[in-house]
Amino acid sequence: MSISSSFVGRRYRLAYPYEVSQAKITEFSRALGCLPGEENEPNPIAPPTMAAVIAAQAWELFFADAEADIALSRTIHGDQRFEFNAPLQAGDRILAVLEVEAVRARTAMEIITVRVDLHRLPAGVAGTAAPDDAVDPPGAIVARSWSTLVHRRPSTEEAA
Amino acid sequence: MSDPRLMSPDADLAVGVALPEFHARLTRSDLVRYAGASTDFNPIHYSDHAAAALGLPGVIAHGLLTMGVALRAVTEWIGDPQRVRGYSAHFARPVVVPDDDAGVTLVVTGSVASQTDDTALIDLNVTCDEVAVLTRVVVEVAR
Repeated sequence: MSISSSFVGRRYRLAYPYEVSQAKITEFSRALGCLPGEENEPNPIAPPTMAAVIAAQAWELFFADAEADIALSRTIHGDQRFEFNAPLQAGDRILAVLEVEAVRARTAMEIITVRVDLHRLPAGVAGTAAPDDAVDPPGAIVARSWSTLVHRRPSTEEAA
Repeated sequence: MSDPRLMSPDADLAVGVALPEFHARLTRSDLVRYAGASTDFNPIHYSDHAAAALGLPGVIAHGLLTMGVALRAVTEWIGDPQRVRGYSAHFARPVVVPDDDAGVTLVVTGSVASQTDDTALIDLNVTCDEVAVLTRVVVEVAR
């Protein structure tokens, strides 16, 4: 089996939340060159595109699905879109859920659109070791990320 | 700064208002820093031989690094990243970053393209060496 339109609607849900730390916000802000001066208070709000760092954890689940038979090394990121409802802040516990929205076959590739919803878990709600991918985690969606991935099918040589 | 369209963002993000031209330099060191911060360790973003093996002209910047840096043109203009409601882009061309001290410079220009009651859509042009590296770049900002 390999990736096809039959994957549309499949979901991949993290078992445990990603905990946003002040240290990661500082590290990520510095990596984008947008940290206020050293004399400033640390910024408690993450740069908006830090949502992609958490979304990437759900991508890993998708790429690890042996049935999909896809590889990050054969994938080009074509388009990216974010919707932001609330900023990521230190202390947030975020559960990412990926859903395959579209798979279009081309001659030697598939064009795959995935959406990742970032749910902010309410205080006191734990993760679950065996998440039900079909069920939405509790908590508001703070950000959504849509990505269009151009996936080159392995040649018969590579597949062998 | 004599361009009459360059106005303070407080001017209601009126259609046609341009944001100040924004420049950001990217070096290999910035790519390594972003790899660590984002946990995207794809070797095409730091290794010449890994990039060459994929037929790339050289080590390239992470697409989301380019997107993240380009967004600063807007967030530093409006002064509050929390006002960003949406952001989209097409990765049109790779940003090749040489292994030297100069690196490359991203240049971001843009202007308000349209408005709704509570948001404004800002179109951005993101270039490197005068080549558009991101296209169809739109930032939605709360007014």
